[in-house]
Amino acid sequence: MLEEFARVVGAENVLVAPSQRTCYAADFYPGERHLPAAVVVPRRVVEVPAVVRLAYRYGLPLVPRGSGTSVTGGVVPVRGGLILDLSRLNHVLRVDAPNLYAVLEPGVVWADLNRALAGHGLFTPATPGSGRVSTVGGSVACGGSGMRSLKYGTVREQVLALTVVLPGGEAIHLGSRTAKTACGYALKDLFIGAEGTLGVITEVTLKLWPRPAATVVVEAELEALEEATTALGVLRREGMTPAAYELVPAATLRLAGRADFPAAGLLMAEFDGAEAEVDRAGARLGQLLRGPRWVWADAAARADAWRRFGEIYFCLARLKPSPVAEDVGVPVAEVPRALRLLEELFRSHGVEAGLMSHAGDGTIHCVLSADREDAAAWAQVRAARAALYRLVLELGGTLTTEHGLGISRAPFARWQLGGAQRLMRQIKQAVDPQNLMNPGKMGLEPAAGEDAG
Amino acid sequence: MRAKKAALRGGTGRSSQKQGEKVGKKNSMRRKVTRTGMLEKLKKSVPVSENREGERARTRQCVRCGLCLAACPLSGAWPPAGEVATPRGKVAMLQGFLAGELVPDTFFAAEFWQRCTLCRACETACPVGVPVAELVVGARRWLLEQGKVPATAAGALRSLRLYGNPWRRPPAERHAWAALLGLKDYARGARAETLLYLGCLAAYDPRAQRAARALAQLLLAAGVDFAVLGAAEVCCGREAYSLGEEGLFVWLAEKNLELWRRHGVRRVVTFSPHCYDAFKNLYPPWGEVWHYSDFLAPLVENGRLRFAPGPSRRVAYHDPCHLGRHNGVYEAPRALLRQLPGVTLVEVGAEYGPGVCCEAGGGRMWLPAPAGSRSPAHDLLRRAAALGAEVVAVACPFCLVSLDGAVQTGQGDLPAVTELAELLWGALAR
Repeated sequence: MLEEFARVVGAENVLVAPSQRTCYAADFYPGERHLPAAVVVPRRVVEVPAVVRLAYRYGLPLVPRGSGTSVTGGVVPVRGGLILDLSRLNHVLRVDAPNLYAVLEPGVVWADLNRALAGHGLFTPATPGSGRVSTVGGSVACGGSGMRSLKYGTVREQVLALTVVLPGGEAIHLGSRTAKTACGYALKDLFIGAEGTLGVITEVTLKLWPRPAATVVVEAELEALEEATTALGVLRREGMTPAAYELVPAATLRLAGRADFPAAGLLMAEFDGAEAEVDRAGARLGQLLRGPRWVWADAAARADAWRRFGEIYFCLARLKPSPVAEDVGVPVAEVPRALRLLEELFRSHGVEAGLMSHAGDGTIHCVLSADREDAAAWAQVRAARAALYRLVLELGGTLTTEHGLGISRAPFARWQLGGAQRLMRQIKQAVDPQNLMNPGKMGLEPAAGEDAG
Repeated sequence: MRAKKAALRGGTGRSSQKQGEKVGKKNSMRRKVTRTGMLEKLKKSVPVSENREGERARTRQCVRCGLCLAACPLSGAWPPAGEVATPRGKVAMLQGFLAGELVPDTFFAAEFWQRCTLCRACETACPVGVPVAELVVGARRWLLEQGKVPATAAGALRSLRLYGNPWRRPPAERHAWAALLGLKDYARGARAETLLYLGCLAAYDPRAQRAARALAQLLLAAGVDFAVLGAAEVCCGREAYSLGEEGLFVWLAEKNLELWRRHGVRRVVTFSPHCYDAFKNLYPPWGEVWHYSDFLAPLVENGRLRFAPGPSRRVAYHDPCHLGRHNGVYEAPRALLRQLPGVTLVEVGAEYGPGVCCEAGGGRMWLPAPAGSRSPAHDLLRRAAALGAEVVAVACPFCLVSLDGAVQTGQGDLPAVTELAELLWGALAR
């Protein structure tokens, strides 16, 4: 059977050695490790339909994978089967500057794309925090986004068209390269965020944006977290929407090693656009805040400020061996209150956690310190996570704003989806009747004890 | 990134100077440490196979964020590509092995031997500080114990034991060129506080010899009172360590320390960053250890070496991994290059990104890449050419030999490869 895959992609690109399979057993989520039976690494996009066809013929589960930066267990092969490693399909097929789009293979890494676009005076604002290594295909599959989605929208809003290989091997084109389309169901949007459970994304047409002429970053120490949301409201009303708007409460900074942080929270805001425009916005935000603040306009200073800010996340991630990353969301005005409630929630569950918010879109990233090999502590982490989801739903929020459901949120998806989960399962059944595409994810299969609904 | 680099450079220059002073003053005390220092600890260190828990804890630091994927210069160099060829993949394999879930197979052995130069580009990218290079050395140590070692590496190790160099060359011929140059030789009764430690490549490789000769002449020109060990010199042991042969490393280190003690050496200046790294980081705390670029910088500053006007050239400096990432010496070689009239410095690896690698470090000189693999050395040269560099300058004999070889086999118009010492000697005002 594996010989048939070897005939499609070449024998050296079908990996079966135990050491090779071990490399694909886990992603950032420490909760589950499963070995695939084999890994198939296509060299060209045209090989993908043949691989999918073979997998379906032999009833092998198939998990599409980019750089493996999922934090939810999204690329863990829980049912064994095949990993379809798409990382070598990494060509920028076309940059259409007049029409402002690029046609990409799914394995293109965000940073490489932005490097390729720089020569055209263009960029893509959907780049996630992991953009130095994560792939466009992975972000589209998970409905991801980055910190600049406040002004530009999430990945979902950037995708004009997709090519998708359906279970069974048929390739279909979804969406349109026009700015808008009204032709039929919005099936393109169904595959964005489907986490590989409905098919394999093999081509992405992504919207491009002209590189802004100027950028400023405002870094501020807040006397109260509410200052951030109040100021944001004013900025938006006055037509000065920031590209990024990040908020970190003081307790998290202390946990990350900044013991002497003097204020209630740290705000990082980025404005981009015409020079006069960003200068005005930066100055206006400065007026609206009371504590010490800095405006970074120089490129090196901005990069340095973002680098220092980015380090906070990993200071939290290295506190214990198996951190768990959450990305709950609440309505934007609720962010300050939610941050305080979440801090209290984790404290009461005895779990050390850092919080970082894309305060402009309501996302709150939580990094929970955990050690997977300490059973009692792991149970505590799980209990804290369940309480976390309940709390954000009470606040009118969502379980996940950008990482997706994967394995780690699958058991809880129902709490937010309710009756919609049944419709999701019906769609899954219609598209993938044998349940071979990334099975065991997103709560698409009724769990034991759950009524089949 | 740029700011970080500047900080690295500034910080390093200072710290190595400071260490020099401090160690110099307390020299007699340091000697005592030699006898009971790190070598003793190394001799007692537990092989990986017996210290699984400790090693496993180090692999468990990895949170699988994947930031190392963009850093590794070898991960795309030959098939298979994908996760198995990345630093994160290596950590996963090692973790599986140490947990007793994975029996190392042929692929495991090949990856740990061949696909790592211990360049630490991945460690620079790693946000949680996984010591990947040390983990790779640990895996090699275990593979060696099991006899799973490529013939080429085994041959080099055997030669080190028998001849004190990795190429089965007669010790009597070691640094024959140095005698022709009339350098003071401890073995012939010379006395000097400063040892110029030249290393194995400078001993036997004609290309490296040329560069080492330039360095010796620079030191003579600057009036430095130094001597060499000539035919008595033995390998520093760094590459034996990199190839997992810890016992051999200890044996070679003791030979060197004994030689230095016998000849009253108080200061070692090395030609190769690999020897520098061994003496500075793997040997017990001992006297003053300098890489020549750091040692020459003050000699240029206070005018003991002066340079004549030369043709205008664009020179790309390539950071040798054992000098830069292993020891933080980024600024001294650049400062020297900036002193050369006519030279414009080009940054070829501004982000220390992938491809910026000569391929020869970490024992890789004896672990040839599979046939038909894409060469990071060629990538580096092409990148330098694209930046308009006419010359790629290095400060390491491994980089020199490897990159110079790549120029010979490369396609198109590639820059010439030169050792820093050669550039300096060629530009010296006489």
